[in-house]
Amino acid sequence: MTPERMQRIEALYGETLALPEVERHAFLDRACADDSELRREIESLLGYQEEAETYLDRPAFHQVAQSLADGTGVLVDRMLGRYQLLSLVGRGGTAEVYCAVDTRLNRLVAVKVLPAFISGDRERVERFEHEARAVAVLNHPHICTLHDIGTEGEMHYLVFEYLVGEPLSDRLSRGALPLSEAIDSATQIAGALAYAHDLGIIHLDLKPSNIMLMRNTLKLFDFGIAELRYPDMPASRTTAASGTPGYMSPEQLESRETDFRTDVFALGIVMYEMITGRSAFPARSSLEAAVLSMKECPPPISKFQPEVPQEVESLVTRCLAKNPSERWQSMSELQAQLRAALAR
Amino acid sequence: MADALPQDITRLLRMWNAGNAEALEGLTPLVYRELHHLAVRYMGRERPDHTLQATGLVNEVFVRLIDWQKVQWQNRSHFFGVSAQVMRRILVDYARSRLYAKRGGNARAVSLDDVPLPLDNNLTDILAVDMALSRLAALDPRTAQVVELRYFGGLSVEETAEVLKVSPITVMRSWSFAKVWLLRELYGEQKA
Repeated sequence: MTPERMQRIEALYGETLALPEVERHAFLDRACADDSELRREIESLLGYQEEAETYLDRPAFHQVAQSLADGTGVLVDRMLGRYQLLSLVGRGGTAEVYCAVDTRLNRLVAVKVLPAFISGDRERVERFEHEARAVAVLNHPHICTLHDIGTEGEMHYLVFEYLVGEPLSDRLSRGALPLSEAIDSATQIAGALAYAHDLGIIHLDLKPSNIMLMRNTLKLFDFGIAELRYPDMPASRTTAASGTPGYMSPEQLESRETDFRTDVFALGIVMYEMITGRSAFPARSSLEAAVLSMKECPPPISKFQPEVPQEVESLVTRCLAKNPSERWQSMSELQAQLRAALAR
Repeated sequence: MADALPQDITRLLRMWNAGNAEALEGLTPLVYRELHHLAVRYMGRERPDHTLQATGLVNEVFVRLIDWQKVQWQNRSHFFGVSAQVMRRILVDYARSRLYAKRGGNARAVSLDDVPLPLDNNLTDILAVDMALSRLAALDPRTAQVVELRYFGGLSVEETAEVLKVSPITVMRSWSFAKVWLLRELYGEQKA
């Protein structure tokens, strides 16, 4: 294509477009008599004419503003209540997570802001507030504390303790944990979950990215609040890589009733991954992972870590039973087993 | 950054026009701030695309902030042309940085989901148009300029005509052709 050719095409396209549709065919017959390539070019462009009508209607500036509004850190520097948002540090579920300063107590906090559209749904807001109040009761050394909830205009937000550490998911990307460390971590997680279960609160979204490894300790977060859970957009290809379905229990995947044994299953997966350094259900898509988690058992731990004691392996395997009634029947029972394994 | 004074912005635009690439760094925060203002309006129930005139808004970013007394541009239309180029650069850089952003740095402090930022059609559109527009410019610089002024500069047909010193109908023809050409370029069947 040369600039001269382009000019010819552009001119002819304009002339054709100016004609009533019925005349275009005959016009092109004449204009492109000796140049069928030119005709194909014009006709192909005409095929986009309808679509082009509204194309690029909105200037680029608006498109960028829209994408900001769709949730990429619009609120930096804003005050939400007494919290000044400093920087967007990530997203969990539909929420945006900001590092913020509590201007009254002068300390760092993590503020999770729910998207504005939720406020239009009263039932959803009520459920969210109900869950947040329940979680606010949790007071445990291995659970990230919920300090506050608030509303600013149409935005609902949660204020959490600010955790400095490394998410287990990041740690696992470098491989397995030493066995004793894995069991120690699992014991702490089980302790936190057993405590919460006693208060009637189920996590329902336990996974390595919700576990923060800190100096000599760890903390769980995003407890029991549905709005912070995995994005509920199963049809979207963009969420396929989320990996979360790989941590969902069969009963969650099939929308059956969940209870504290759902957390037992998830802890089983987390333990499997800590010990082997491998995904329990390696898959290329979330759908594939989900199918595996419903139907298949992960390869035995001993295949990757032959030195792992049999009782540890069977302890994990029992967490992973597809049928909840075949799993450990309470988190405290599992915690006791882990403690015993740790002592050995 | 502290609020930029109109004379600073005027100076920065002039510097950029004179070929000083660093001036863009001074202009970027200003454009971002205006983007945030608009984004906040989008976030609310208010729909700017319905309540505001879609065109004429972008250069308003500069028009509002410029110290016109100090402007020694040849004329107003030249200024529009420059602001469209600046806007293109800033918006494309922004889109690219968002789309390729890795969550490093302080992202570690609070754990995140492993979910990658969703593919943002608004942003991919901008990058795609930018790249296709560069191809168009090689074949037909004038038509590409119309797109730059209209899409990146946010100018109306009349303003675009003024900048390019052509008639509005010429702008409309170019604009109409550019859109089908870009659509086919971006979404059409692969050419042999």
